[in-house]
Amino acid sequence: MQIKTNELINFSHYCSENSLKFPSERISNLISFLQQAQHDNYERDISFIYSLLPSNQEEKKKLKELILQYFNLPIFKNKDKYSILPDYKDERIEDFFNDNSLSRFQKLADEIIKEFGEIDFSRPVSNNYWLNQLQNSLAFLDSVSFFDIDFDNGLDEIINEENRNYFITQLNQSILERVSELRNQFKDPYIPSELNPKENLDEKDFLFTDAEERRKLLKETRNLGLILANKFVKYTKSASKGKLLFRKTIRKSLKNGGSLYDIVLKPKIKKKPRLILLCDISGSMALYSLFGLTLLFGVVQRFRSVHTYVFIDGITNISKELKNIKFNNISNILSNWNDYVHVDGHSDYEKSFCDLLNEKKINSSSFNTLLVIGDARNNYRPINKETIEKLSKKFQNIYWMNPEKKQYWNTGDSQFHYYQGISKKYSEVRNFEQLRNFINSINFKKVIK
Amino acid sequence: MNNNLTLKNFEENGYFADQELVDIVNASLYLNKPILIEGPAGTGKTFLAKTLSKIFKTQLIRLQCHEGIDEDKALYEWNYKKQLLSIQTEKDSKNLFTEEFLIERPILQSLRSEKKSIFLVDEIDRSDEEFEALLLEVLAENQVSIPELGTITSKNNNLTVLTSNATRELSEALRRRCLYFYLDYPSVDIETKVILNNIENIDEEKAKKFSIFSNFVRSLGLNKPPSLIESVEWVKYNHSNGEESLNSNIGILIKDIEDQKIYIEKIKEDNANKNQ
Repeated sequence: MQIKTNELINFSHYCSENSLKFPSERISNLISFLQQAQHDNYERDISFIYSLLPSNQEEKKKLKELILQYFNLPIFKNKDKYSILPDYKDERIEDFFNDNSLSRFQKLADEIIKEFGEIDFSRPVSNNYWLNQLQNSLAFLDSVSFFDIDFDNGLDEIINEENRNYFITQLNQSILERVSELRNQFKDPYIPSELNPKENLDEKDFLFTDAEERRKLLKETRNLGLILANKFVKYTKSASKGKLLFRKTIRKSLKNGGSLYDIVLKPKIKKKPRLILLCDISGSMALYSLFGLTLLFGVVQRFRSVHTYVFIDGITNISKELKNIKFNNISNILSNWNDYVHVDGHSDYEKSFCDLLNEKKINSSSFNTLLVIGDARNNYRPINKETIEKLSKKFQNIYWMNPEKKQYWNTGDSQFHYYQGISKKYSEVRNFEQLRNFINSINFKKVIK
Repeated sequence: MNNNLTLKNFEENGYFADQELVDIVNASLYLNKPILIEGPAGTGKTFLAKTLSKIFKTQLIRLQCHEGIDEDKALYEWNYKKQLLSIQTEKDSKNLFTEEFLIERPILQSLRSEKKSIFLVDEIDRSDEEFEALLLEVLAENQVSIPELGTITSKNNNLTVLTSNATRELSEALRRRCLYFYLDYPSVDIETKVILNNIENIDEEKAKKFSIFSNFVRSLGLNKPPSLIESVEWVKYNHSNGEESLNSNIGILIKDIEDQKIYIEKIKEDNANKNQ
């Protein structure tokens, strides 16, 4: 074991300062394992920290960052996503795809910046702006030109395309590093976090995510839907334990001459969630309604008995659509937006909730929980207090996720204060972190009666 | 059990992995703790347990979890019919709760096995939360309590492997007792090795090309990306039949009509880009 025990304990303190806590049992386990492992490689010890301490995927991600900050050692898997094709005539290409290719990319990045000419790095624009400028330069295009070969084979073409992408991401990274170094000469005081800005995806506003990030987040959102659905189930014991079903037991014993060989027990049925989900899909909701719909999708995937509605100026039941749709096609619901317009296409909370209360399915059975995703912007239409009262009577628990910034609540045509009063829990939900916290904080099992 | 496994041990048995996985298996052997493996379907979670049983030349005891599984199916059960017959035939008072009437289920089987064994709890996320609680005692103490018989402790240090597809959040208590590993889709390097191992008459260069290609297919954002075994089978069939086209037999690779459309469009798109 090369790493000192003290250092490890200091590191665990550092982690807990950054809100990542490990039970002491895990740390002592790690130390005892490292002591017997007897290898003399410091980096290997660090990689053991990474693989043994965390107990789920999130902790792993966070730990990776903390290790980089504390020990200044990156943990990465060597993924060589390239294959050298025989058609490549340029010999330089092999050097770039070698193990020690990093310095070569740095050199190339330097050359590209040099050939671009004079750059005023003191301008107040982002690093990505310069990257974009440089990408259009002749030197850049020239350096990726050795991938411009015609292939007659489909497989080779795709491999070439992947090689090119890999090459470009590597080069971009080197250029960005170099640019931020150069730009920091004009910055004072020196701020390390700006040298290497890392945005946490979980805390990024849904509105500002790009397609790739959105896909990642949507997948996680669907998983949250599954978790949410599970929260609303009352688990019961299986049929092999419990009350004796006397009539059937006697009936079965007849074939054995009255001996009770087989006993039949009363099966207990799992209690399904009595839950209604509403999602506003009007224009003001923008991208947030896509995340809302994905959450609904996750819930419906787990429990088909859940009622889900979308609303603009009147509600539409989309449980059926969500059941039959594929994950990739959820956004189709939003593109068929006009199918869900009842009157004029401006959101009307009053009418939507009236509709909900008048729904036959809901009126005749006892649903006790309502979850709403909406911004409560009512386009200056009146809201009837009676409807609010009826709502709070009908549903024991109302949860509300508002995608609008808290400072804008109840300004302009936002009528959120009416609903704040009757909601058991309400919160601003603009990013994944907030969404997860909201879902985690719903504690439903106690509420079932 | 031999305490220091190497990558070579795994590769000799046809399992290709990162060093990180080998490390965590070694750690689990040393600390005598179960391993919890999460990851998408078809990345070799169950196969890992099978490989471990091959490496140690031991028995593999498998418990497949499903909704509604309970202690009767997982732990033990009293043979009710036999008990009843025994009362009727012998007619004198006899203890009905003895070994004679006990039916062993996988957990008990692994605890009482004479030889060391690998105990696999497959797809733990499909079981109910109550069942997780039942497992806790087995995982932490290697023992189990049966009211009529007392506590049964394992004679051997069995290696336990739990797998999960992460469709449900597992409880903190369960996670705390395990070592954690996330098994993702294989990297190009590993997939190349698998292809070379599974397919005859294929050269390394071609194998690498195919593994880059399947990595590319997985990055298309399909509803169900092809698993390792699917992509290998596809390459195997196409290679042995001398098929060169990427659009042939995609039923082996992608099993969803929407995904197939995306795939075909993407391949065409790439070809069109080139032709411009």
